[in-house]
Amino acid sequence: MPNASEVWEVLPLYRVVQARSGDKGDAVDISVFSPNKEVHEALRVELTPERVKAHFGDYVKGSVSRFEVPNLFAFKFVCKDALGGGGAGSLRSDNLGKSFSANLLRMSVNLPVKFASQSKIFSR
Amino acid sequence: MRSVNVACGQGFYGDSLRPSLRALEIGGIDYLCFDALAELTLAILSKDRSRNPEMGYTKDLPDMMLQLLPMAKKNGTKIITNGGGLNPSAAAKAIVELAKKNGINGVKVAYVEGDDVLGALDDWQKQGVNLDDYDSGDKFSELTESPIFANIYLGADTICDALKFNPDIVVTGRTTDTAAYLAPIMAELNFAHDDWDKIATAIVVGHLLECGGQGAGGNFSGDWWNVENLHDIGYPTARFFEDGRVIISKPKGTGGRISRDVLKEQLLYEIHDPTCYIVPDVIVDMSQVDLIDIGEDEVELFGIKGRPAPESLKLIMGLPGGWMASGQVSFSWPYAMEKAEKTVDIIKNRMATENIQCDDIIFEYVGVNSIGGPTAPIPPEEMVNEVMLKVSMSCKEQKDAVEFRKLFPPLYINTFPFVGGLRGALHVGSLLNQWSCLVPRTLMAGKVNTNVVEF
Repeated sequence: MPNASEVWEVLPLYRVVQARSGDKGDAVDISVFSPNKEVHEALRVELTPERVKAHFGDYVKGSVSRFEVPNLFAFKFVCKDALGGGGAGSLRSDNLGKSFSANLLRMSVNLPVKFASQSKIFSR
Repeated sequence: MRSVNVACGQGFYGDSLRPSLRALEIGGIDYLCFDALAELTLAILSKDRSRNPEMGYTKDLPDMMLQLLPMAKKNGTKIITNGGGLNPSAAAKAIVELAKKNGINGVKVAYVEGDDVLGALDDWQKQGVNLDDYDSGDKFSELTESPIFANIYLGADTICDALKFNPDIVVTGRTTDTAAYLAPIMAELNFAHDDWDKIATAIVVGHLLECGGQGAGGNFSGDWWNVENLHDIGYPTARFFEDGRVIISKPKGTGGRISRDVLKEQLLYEIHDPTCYIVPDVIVDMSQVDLIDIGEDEVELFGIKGRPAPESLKLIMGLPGGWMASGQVSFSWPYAMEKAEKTVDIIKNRMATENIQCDDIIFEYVGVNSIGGPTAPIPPEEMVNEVMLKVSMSCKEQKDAVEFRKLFPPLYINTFPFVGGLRGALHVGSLLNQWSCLVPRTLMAGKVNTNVVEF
């Protein structure tokens, strides 16, 4: 974990992390990439499967599982029963779940500012 | 040291041909690999085949090959595609015929058949093979309608067999997206059949490359505003060395970007559990993967592990899923959102009056929350410049979908002021239910074969 004396602040994820999502049947698979280990560790606490499921509300009816790829500072969330029927049968505009990652990026989480600001997308 | 350079030529059915042409112009490519089959594509192709038994392959394939063949032959670049879809032999013949008609001689196309197992399902069921859907647990024996298509995902071994004919082009049906990349790498570098780490690494190369632009700066969620020349995006390439070293790049001078930040998004795309990515050829563990920037548009891939190939193969089926219809109407400021919401009530009322039955219906406010759903806050009314109300429904009978569509045109004069967006606003189509199961690999023994068409 980053030093406790660091300044932490609630920041929207879109200013700090990269994300991509896609579908597999009726499941949506979202990857979240932190710019460094410190932010990744902060997200381990902040981005729990329970919080991710709660964030999506009605959109994710099934379970959310979390996986990790440590060298890429990545967490992956697999959301079941999340597309209203899946690619072929879904009535949604985003029937392939490609914007689920954007929807996750709306979340605000508590992050160490010094390390969050090292993200290449932070200062835009 | 020996190496092979593979490049992505196509990421999906309907993809642009330009990146392939650019890759061939710039040169240095040994194999150009095309993935034309998404999960839904076989459904589209099955409709084509039901109208004409000579069809069932991706329609753009012969003309694409005609445009690529002269440069590919000159460079010694071979092409591998699963665009044969449900009819690889017809696709191979069509390619050769079209080339011949245009004065290109000496074209050899090898094709792989046998993935289409629609005709074998009854026998398999009698033999007690479990064909129940692994997602839903639904029983195959309780299906009331027959599948439209049923195909086994085949791996790289079948493409390796086809490459032995030394063809210009290999055309397959439902081989996996990654098999088109593993096969030439394996064939050229003579991997041992149980060199699981190298096989897994080549599968990951395929996974990184097979989505075309998505692996070269397209859809990039980092500093996307700095990615240059996307109008001339170059699809990713990979040089695979004999010792297992891999460098991902793209044709020099093309647009887009290859970097650790770009590739990591594609690496984890749609793979679910990173320790266990299962393809017919190997079980891949990407959990210890790393990507390192080694130069401009050059990234080295590390840390991929493999475990022995699975005992079962994936069978995908498409089942008739009823019908869907959608319609839309756009309202302008002021009070755009309020007008759209009131129109929802009108549509519900009209459906009840006309007794239009549906299984599911959704109301989306395009421009406000059609993509964001419950995560998108609704802005204050005065900030909403315009809203497109999009209504989509699914139903069992075609007639309900058709009647639903008829409700829309009158909305443009019978409801609220300042409307637009009627052109192209109505859609009726059939739906498909996807059915997946795992069957023993041994069922496919002797069922897959390779042939050649040449002129």
